[in-house]
Parts: sequence; structure tokens; C-alpha cells
Amino acid sequence: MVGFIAGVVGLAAAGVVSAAEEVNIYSYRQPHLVEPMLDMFTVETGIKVNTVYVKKGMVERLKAEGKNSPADLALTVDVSRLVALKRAGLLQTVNSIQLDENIPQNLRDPDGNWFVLTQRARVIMAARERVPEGALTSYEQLSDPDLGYKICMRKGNHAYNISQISSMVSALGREGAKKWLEGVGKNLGRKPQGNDRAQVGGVYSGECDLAIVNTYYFGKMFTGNGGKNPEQIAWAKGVRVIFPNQGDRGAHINVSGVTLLKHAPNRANAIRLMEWLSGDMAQYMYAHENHEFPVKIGVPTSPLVTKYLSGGRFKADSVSLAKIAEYSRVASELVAEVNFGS
Amino acid sequence: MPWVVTTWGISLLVVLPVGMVVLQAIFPEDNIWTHLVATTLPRYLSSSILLMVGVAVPSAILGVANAWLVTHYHFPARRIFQWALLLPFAFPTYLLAYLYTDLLEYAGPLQTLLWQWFEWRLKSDYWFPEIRSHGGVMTMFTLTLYPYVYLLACASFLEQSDQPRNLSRLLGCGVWRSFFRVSLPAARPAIAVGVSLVLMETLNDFGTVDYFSVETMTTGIFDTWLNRNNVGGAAQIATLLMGMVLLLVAIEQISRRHQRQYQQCK
Repeated sequence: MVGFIAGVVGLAAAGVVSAAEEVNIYSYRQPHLVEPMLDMFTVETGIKVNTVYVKKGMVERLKAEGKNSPADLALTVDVSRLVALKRAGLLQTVNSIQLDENIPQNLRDPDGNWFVLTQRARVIMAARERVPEGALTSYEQLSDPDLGYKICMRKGNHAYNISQISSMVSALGREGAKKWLEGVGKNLGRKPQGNDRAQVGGVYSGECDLAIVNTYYFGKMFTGNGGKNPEQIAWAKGVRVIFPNQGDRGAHINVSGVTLLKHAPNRANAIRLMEWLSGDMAQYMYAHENHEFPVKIGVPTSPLVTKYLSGGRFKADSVSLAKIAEYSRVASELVAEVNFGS
Repeated sequence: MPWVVTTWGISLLVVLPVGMVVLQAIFPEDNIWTHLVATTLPRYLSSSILLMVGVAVPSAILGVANAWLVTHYHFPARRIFQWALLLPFAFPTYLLAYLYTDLLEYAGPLQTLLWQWFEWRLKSDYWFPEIRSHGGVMTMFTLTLYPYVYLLACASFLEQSDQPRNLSRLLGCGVWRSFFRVSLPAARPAIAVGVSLVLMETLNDFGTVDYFSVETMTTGIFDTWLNRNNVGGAAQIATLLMGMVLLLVAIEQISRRHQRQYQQCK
């Protein structure tokens, strides 16, 4: 009953029309990024795309909707969310030669349940004026009691941080990661708050010296977010991007991806869109509009990324995405246990 | 007969989701109750209780004092104050929170001005109250919620007969003594209702405490549900929160049990 009601609500929200050729998406990715690409897809294929932008709770929503869900695809950021969807039994397998060709094997679920579309690294952005080059080279240093720098970071339980902490669990073990998190907590310049960009704002205002941020935000800030946030240009110019742990395991990377939902009513169209998103056109747009690292070999990074973020050529942590997702539960337990940020 | 059906129908609409939450709390898919109890729950609980105390006391003082002044004294613009004091009601707490944060945060206009005046620049150069704190939340709530107490206390003070108060003054009570021994006790039931409404609003707020990064029962529900993907744990916290509200209602009822004779309308 609940599932039925939720399904009807979801259907209404998706703005589903009676046209035969369509595909319905639930997206964690923001409209300004996704819409131009989906419009392009519609122009090329004639398939109408209906999108519901979900801010939180997609898994719970899909569970409640069950068989009545109108959604075909989920577009999400963060591997733990992809795996959460899989674990909840909400996905189905896709066999597509095109997807296999476009997306490297380590960026696909072994069971064909989810596919990575873009990559980003979680890096340290340091105040150019206050943090000398080479002063900081690893995530581990962030928990050093004698660090001498203040850190700005968003709330511990945000998906980006959970994955980062998961990677620390994988590198240092549960206890090691717990100690690390406690140490980082003590070096915070302020209570965790705001989004990733707000952390760089904190560095700019002098509240902190270091910010933990996803790489593509550097591009967003550097371009003033398309004219919407011109003040952020100065924020970006004030920081140096540090890819941590280049001497050992590499920088923590995360992904955005796409999955085919179990009860997808428009399966064929959905797979066509998945393939399209992994193709040249969409990959180029991801890279150039949002400054992410494309997964398809041969698609160039944006000029900005090429110049300021070493073109995405850095040593990335090779721990499998599945492992990161597996530790996400431990990571969220650790955030609760050390009372991070209070 | 149609009335009975309607009443039951509406009641069912209200009770159904509550029942679902309680069921999910008792039979969670993935039970993290022990981890909650060992880690976050005591923090959520003590933080919420601290907020309740820190909002109830100043709201009661502000509400009662203002009500007493506008109902018993003549001063310029009294009529304007009578309704103007209700206006904060129209102000959502989280909006006030946004405003004050923009004004008072580190890079906000006030602190920037202080930097210029005193040549301060680093956070360690000076002390400034942190708006994103329990104190900040208490202040925001008090400023927007005291009208509950004010409104009910006003009504109660206006309803009260003047005779007992005049009598107490004739028998030698001063202004204060007469207020505390006669007028205030007579208005107590109304004040209790006002304060319990304030407390319920405090308990159920999410926007303000989330923005201020202050952990409470409500942010705990949200965090457990959507960040930890655990509905069961969230339902358990929610059920506890519901228990707290029921407790408030019960306390309010009990405190009124012997008070009915004081109010004329009852």
C-alpha cells in the first residue's frame, strides 16, 4: 500500500507523459549539469527524458515505491550510494558491449549493476600565502597534533567524507582510522558546516588554512560558477591544490555513476541513455562543464583541469571502489563514535 | 453516524504514520540500537534537553514580563506593543538563524568591521561568541517562540478578576509580592500551556539546528535515516522523541489538575 502510494507520487513528480519513447531518471546530480546533456540526448535520439532531482533518501524512496516505481535509471555521486542501491536489491544487470568498451573494467561493477561515468579526487586545498609548498603531502598529516594549520571540512557524515574515511579504514584499519579522525577533529578551524566550496571560502577568510574538497569544485570556483559566484574566483586563486599520498598509496578518488533500476519500465531506452552517457559527447560535456575526470579513454580533460590539476594525471589510490563502499558503514560508525566536529 | 466515520477517518490518517514509525522502531531491518545507545543517542538526548531548558526559561520570562507590562501598565505606544510583540511568531526560526549567521559569522560584516577597527585578523587574535552553538540556537528559538507564552499569558492576565490582586495590595502586599503570589499563580496554567508549546516547537525543529551544526534528536533522525541509510535506527530515535512530547503533555496536564478554579472561563 505504502509502495503504491509512493509510486503514484513518484509518477506525478516525474511529470510522466503518455509519449511512448521516454526514460525516467532519479538524479542526485544537479540540474545545471545534467540538463544540457539530457537535452542533447533527446535531440539525438528523440527519446524524452523525465528527471526527478532527489536531494536525499533515494534508496528509501525506491524501496518504498517498489514495483510501482516509474524510475528507469539512477544517476548518483559517490560509490557508497551506488553500492547502497545494489545492496538494497534495487538494481538489475546490464550487458552492453558499448558500456564495456567505454568504461575501464575497474570502474564497472563486476556484476554489471553499476557503471562509473566520471571520477574526481578528494584533495587538500591549502592557503597559498600561509602553507608553503611541500609542507603537506598526505592525509595522515592532517591528524598530526603539531600540524600547525587549521582545517575546514564539511560535516563528517556527508557521503564524500564517508568515502574518504572509508579509504582511511582500508589503509589504516578501523582503530587507525578512528585515531586519524579524532586527530583531524582536533585540527578543525571551525565546526563542520556548509558545502565543499564553503570550505575554500573558509580558507579565503582566514578561518582555516586547509580545506578538504573534491577536485571539480576548483574548476567551478575558478570560473565563478558560470557568473553566479564571482567572489569564488578569488577563493580558488588563493589556494594550492595538493594531491595527497603521491609517494605511497595515492589520492582518494571517488566517482559518479549510473545504474539501471530493477523495475525499470523503459529498459531499452534506459540502456541506450547509459551507453550515450559513456560516449564521447557526454564524456566531453562532463569534463568541460563540470571539470570532472572523464572515464572514456581519449576524452580530454578541460583546459582548466589540464593546467591546474595536472590534467587528472596523479597517483590515485588503487583500492577497489567496492572495498570503499564496504567500509562506509564502519566509517559512519566512526564519525558517531569520535563525535566528529563538536 | 457520518460524524463518527469522519472522526475515525481523520484519526486514522493521523495515527497511521505514527504507528508505522513505532512498528519500524520495534522491528528494524538492520538493528543499530546498541551502537546508537553507546555513541550518538546520549548526545542527541542531552543536547535536546539542554536546548529545552535554555529556551523554556527565557521564553517564559520574556513572554510573562511583556504580557504583564502591556496588560497592566499605561505607557506610550502600548497598543502598538500589544500586537507588535506577537510579530516574531510570523518569523520562521531558521530564517532568523540565517540572518544572524550572515551578520555574526567570522567573515560576516560585524567581525570584518572589528578587524578594521582593531587590526585583528586571525581567529586567535580575539574572542567572539560562536553563533553556531547551543547558545545561538537558544537565542534564536527564544526570540521567535516566546509569543506562545506572551499570547496565552496576556489572555490569562486580562481574564483575571482584579479583586484578588486589589485585595492583596490592601492587605499589605507590595507590587512584586502581589504579582508573584496572586497574579502569576492564577496565570500558571496558561503559562504552562505556552511553555509546553514552545518546547514542542523546540523539539521538532530541524532547519535551525541543522544550519547551526548542533546535534539534536531531529538531526539524529535525519542523519541516521539518510546518511546512514538506516530507517530502523531513525524510527527508534523518532519514537523516543515522540515519548518526550507525550511526557510534556502529561506534565502539562498534571500541573493543571488543581488549578482550574483560578480561571474564570473554565
